[in-house]
Amino acid sequence: MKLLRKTLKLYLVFSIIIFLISVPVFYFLVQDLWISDVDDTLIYQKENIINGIEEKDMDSISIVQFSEALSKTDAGISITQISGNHLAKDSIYYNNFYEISRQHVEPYRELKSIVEANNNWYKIIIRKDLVESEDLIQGIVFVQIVLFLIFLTGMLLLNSYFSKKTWKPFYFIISKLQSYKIDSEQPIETVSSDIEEFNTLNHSVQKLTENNIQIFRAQKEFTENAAHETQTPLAVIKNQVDLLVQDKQISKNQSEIINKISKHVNLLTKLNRNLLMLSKIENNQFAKKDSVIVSDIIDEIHDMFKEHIDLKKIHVVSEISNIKPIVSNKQLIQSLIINLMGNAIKYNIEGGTIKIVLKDSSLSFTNTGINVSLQKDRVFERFYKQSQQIESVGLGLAIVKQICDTLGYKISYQFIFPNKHTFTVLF
Amino acid sequence: MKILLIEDNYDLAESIEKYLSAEGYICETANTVEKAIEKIELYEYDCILLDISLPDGNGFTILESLKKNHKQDGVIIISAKDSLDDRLKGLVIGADDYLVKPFHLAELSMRIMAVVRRRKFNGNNLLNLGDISVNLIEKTVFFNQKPVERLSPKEYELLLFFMSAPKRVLTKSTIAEHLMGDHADMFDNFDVIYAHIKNLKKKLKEAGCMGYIKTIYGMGYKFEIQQS
Repeated sequence: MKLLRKTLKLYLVFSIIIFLISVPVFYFLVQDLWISDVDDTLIYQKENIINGIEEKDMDSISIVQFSEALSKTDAGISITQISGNHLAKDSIYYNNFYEISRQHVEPYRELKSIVEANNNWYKIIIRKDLVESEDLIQGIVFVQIVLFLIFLTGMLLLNSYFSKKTWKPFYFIISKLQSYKIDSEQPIETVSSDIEEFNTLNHSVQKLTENNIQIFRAQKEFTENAAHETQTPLAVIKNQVDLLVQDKQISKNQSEIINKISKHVNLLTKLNRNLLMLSKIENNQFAKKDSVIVSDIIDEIHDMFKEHIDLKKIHVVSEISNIKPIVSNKQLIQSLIINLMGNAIKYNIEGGTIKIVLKDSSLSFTNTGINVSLQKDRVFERFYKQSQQIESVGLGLAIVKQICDTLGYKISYQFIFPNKHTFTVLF
Repeated sequence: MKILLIEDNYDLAESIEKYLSAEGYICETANTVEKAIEKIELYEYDCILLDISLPDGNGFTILESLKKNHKQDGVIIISAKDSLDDRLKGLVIGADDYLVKPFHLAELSMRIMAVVRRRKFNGNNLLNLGDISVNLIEKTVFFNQKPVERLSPKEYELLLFFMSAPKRVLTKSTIAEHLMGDHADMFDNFDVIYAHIKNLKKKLKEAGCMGYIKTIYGMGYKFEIQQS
C-alpha cells in the first residue's frame, strides 16, 4: 500500500467514526435544549393565564366560556373546573395527539397544572407540539453528510496536491536509490526540502552512499594494488627458478619440484593478471571507443589459437553474417573473444566442434564438451570452476561478464542436450 | 657489452645481474632515479633495463632525461604494470621495448639482444652461430651454407630464441611464453611446444644439423653448438 493512501485511509476511518458519534450527540443535545425551552414557554404561558384570570376577576362561567373559545383555536390550552381541593405540583410530560389538520400523530409537550382562582379549582393543560425527532435526526444526518462530503473532497484534494508536494523529496530520493549503482561512484544527489526530516534523510543517504563509494573504491584499489604488489615477488621467484634450472647437477626429483614451482608460479601470475584485468575494467580504464569489426577480431583470434585447435582436432564452423563495424572498445572486444574462444577450446573434447555465429546484434560460441549443463546461475561468478581436472583460475567467464556489463551487453549461457554449451553475447 | 639495470628490488636485480653476467654482459645496477641519472650521465650503456616504479620517483623521468641529453642507449622498460597507456607512453618517449613482470630471464636476454643488434649492428642482417646462419630479413636459415627447409613463423621464432640463449636450459613454460606471448597462460599444456620443436628438429636434421637442440629430461630444452 502506498504511503499516501495509507495515511488517507487512517484519516478517513477516524473521521467516519467521529461523524457517526456526532449524529446522536447532536441529536440529544439539540433535543435537550429544545425541550427545556419549550418547558419554559409552557410555564410562562400558564402564569400568564393565571394572572389574566385574577386580573379580570373572571368567574367560573366566563372561564368555561373562555376555555371553550380556546379549544376551537389551535392554541392548545384547555381550562376545566374541578371540584374539591386538589393542590398538586405542576407536571410536564410527553404526550401524543392525533392532529386532524396534519392527519397523523404528533408528539406534544404538555403542562398540567391545578390552580385556584376565585375560590374555584381549575385544571389547566397547555400543550405545545414538538418537532418530530425523526425530522431532527434527518436534519442532523443531512447536515453531517454534506459536511462530511465537503471534508472528504477537501482532504482528497489536499492529499493529492499538498501531500504529494510535501512528500516529493521523499519520492525523489526513493527513485534515486532504486536506480543507484555503486560502481557509478556518484553519490546520490538530493533536493533540499523545508521539512527537517527529509533533510535529515537526504543528509543520511548522501553520507551513506559517500561512505559506500569510499569503501568500494578502497576495495577496488586494494585488489589492484594487491595484484600489483604480487608481481615483483613473482618475478623474483620466476627468475630464481630460471637460474636454478641452469644448474647441471639437478636430479630428477629436484626437476619435478622445480616444474611444480614453475607451474604454480605461472598459475599465480595468470590469476594476478586476470584480477588486474577485472579491476581495470571495473575502473573504467577501457572507456575509449573505437570502430571495431568483430569478424576481423574473430579471424585474428582464430588464427592465434590455430595450433591449439588443430592439436585437439577441433572442427571450427563460422557463420558470419555481419561484417559491419560496431562502436566499442577494441581491447575489451578482443579480450571478450579471446576468453570465449579459449574457453571453447579448453573445455572441448578431442575431435569436437566449435560453432561461431555472428549476427547483427549477437555473437555466440557453441562448443562440444561435458554431458552435463554448467550451473547457469554460477557460471559467470568469480572463481567458479567448470571442472576440477583442468587447471584454471576460474576468472575467464567472470571477465567476459564484466566486459559485457561495462559495454552494456547481455551474456547468457545455454546447454543443448547432449553435450553442447553455448555462450551468447547480445550487443 | 654494458648494461645498466635500474631496479629497486634487490633480489630481482641480483637474479637478472647473475643471468646476464653469465651471458657475458657487464651489468651495473642502480636502485633509485637519482643514482640512475648519475650513472647515465657518466657512462654509456648498450642497453638500459628500466623499472618504472622506483622509490624516489618515476622511471619515465630517467627516460625523458636520456632523450633530453640525446643519449643513444637502448632502453627496455621492465614494469609490473601491464597497461597499454604506459606501454605507449614508454615507446613514445623513446624506449625500445616493454616487458611486463614477471618474465623469464631468457626472454629478457633475447629482448636485450634484439635491442643491441638493432642499435649496434644496423645493416647487418645475418645472425651466425656455429654453422647456423640466419638471414633476419628474408627469414631464411642456412646450415653450412646449405639452405634449411622454410620454417613456419613459430619455428623460426623458436630457432632465434634458442640461438639467443646457447647452452641455456629453456623450460617449456619459458618457450611457451615466448611463442604465445600474453596468451600462453590460456592453456596449461605444452603439447603445442612439442609439436613445434619436433618440426624444427626435423627440418634442421634434413639439412644435416643434428644434436643442436637437446632435450633436458623433465626440464626443457637446451641449444648447443656441435663442433663439426
